Amino acid sequence: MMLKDKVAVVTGAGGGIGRGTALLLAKEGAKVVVNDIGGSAAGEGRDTTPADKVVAEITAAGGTAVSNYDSVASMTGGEKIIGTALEKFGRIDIVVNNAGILRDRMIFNMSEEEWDAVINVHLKGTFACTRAAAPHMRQQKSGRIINITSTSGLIGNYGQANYAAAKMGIVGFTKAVALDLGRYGATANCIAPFAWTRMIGTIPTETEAQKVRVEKLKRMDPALIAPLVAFLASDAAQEVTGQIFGVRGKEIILFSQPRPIRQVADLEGWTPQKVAEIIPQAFKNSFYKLEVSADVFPYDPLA
Amino acid sequence: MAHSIKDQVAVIGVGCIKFGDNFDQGYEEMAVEAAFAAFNDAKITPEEIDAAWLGTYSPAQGHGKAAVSLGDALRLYNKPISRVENFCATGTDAFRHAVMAVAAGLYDTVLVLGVEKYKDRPGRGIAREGVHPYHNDGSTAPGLFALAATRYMHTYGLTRETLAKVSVKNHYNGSLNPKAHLQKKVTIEEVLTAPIVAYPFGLYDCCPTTDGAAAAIVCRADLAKKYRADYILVKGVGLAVTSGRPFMDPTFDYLGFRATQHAAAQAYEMAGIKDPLEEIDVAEVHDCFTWTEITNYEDLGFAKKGEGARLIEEGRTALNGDMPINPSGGLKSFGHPIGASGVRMVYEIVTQLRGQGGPRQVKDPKLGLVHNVGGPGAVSCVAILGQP
Repeated sequence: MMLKDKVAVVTGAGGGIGRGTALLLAKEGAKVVVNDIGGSAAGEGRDTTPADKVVAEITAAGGTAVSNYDSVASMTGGEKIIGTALEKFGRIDIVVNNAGILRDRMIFNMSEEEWDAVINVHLKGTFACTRAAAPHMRQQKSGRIINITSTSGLIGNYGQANYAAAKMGIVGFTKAVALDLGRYGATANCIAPFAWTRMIGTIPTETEAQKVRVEKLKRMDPALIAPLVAFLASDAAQEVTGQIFGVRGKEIILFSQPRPIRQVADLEGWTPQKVAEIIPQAFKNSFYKLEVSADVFPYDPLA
Repeated sequence: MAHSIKDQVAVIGVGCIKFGDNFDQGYEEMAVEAAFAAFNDAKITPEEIDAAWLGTYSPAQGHGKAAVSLGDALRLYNKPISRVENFCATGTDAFRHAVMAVAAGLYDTVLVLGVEKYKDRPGRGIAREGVHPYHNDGSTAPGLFALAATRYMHTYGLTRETLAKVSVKNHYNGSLNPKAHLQKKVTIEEVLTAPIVAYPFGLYDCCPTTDGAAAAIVCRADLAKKYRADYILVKGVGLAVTSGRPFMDPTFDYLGFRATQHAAAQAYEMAGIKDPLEEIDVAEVHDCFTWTEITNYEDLGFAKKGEGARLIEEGRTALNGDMPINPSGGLKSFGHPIGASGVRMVYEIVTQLRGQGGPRQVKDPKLGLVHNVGGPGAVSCVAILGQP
């Protein structure tokens, strides 16, 4: 049991990746706060059932868990979520910021409300919960922040300017938190999961090719994300921090992070004309194609 | 020595492309141009090649990786081909491999090809990401050679003015060379007032970043005259590898490179040379930075350690001096497309020995020397070529 005596919060744990994570963390010995507002994939509505059901599953299997129904998308929400862990279990060791919604829209049509909703749940929610837990992690000189990003942000996707912004914001946030908490012995990492869940379950299945593709995607069980989360949450991962992982079926991936790859200097000083003359030709072999996640991961998932 | 190969191998063809910002040429285009220039110079067809060696330092997929990059570029299939990499000595070491193979009696006619793409590919210019916590700071080529240059200047009183004379000389030679990347003369004033790259090196103390390719064809010496009357003989080769971590070696004094000294000693012994300054008529040496040329004079035995500056101050290494060095314009004018440099130097020395140097022809050369050092300082390769 890699997480004995640890206390974990998993947000958005009523289904999908969050549920898979909560179940496995509990199985590995952690006491888990199962947070979920019980809303739709677009974040509408409230229902205590999803969180309660997961708690019941954990308890039935011999583990320890309690429900929390607060929304992550506010500072008070974050305080209450972490507060549940402190109140019921006396401490906070692990926060898995997994809660998320979608409001897809092409950029030229996206509304302010669609932007705000997605930014607030993913990015602000990740901040709110992390902020509430961080002082405790600092004081006890240990802790684990595990955030969920996405290849929609890392690589790109259509109609997801809000989601991509939020998920890349989470990448920057994770690195900043890893730096801030580093000297206190706490770690922060993020994971870009590939999994078939309610949140992404609205991919079109009109053409034969789309149907075949979706059948393969459905083999990516969200529970396959959890083993990496459980490792990152454990003492064994003390030296792992500031990384961007991916999990795609039975593959665990490590993503690169931006570093300069090409450099040209003109010690006499650049002009727009000189830039036009040199830079495109010199850099063209290193430019990135405008592509989406499926272009970089075209192969069948190992699932 | 185990076995001298002096006079057993001849150079019957050489080729060199225009070095520069070759944006409109890919790796394979440059390889083809250089190789076929050499085939045409030797008046042979590719089918007559028994084996080939490729020198490329920064391979990428489809581009200098393994022997296939030569095989596919030249459609030279089913032949023994190897890629060589040895830091800055890559090109001369590829030449040395080919020479050894012919001298060993394995092959009659062998192609040497050096190709490197730097202008539109990664590989130069980024301060290296590495593993050592402080040895990586400033760990670029100019940064590392600058450490040695400043130490040398402190120990021997060498000045930036003297370094500038090396730059002026090589820029002048390059201005006479239609294949050079930089074909412009510079003045001492321009060199001294240019922006600093890594002290004491300003912009004109450093070789440029360049794409280039060159080729040579070697064959058994006894077969050479059926190809041409003015074949050139390989008199000696040498290669030495010292530590890649000289800063960890308390005996390393930053004043020169033992790799060059040892490689040269091997080549001189093989060629039967006792007094290099007297006996060698022309040399292409590794002037990645102006200071490097001065230390090369000493490490190659043309001057005592600390006295290399005299050769440049007295004009002895100019085109019309008694020991012309870098008549081509050197790395200063040609840049350092690493795999190509050594082979380009072979091209230049052969051209000089044949009397085909045109405006940059030196007077009656009989013996010429090719030298590279890289790592920095960890590896050096020297080849000596001469009239039959």
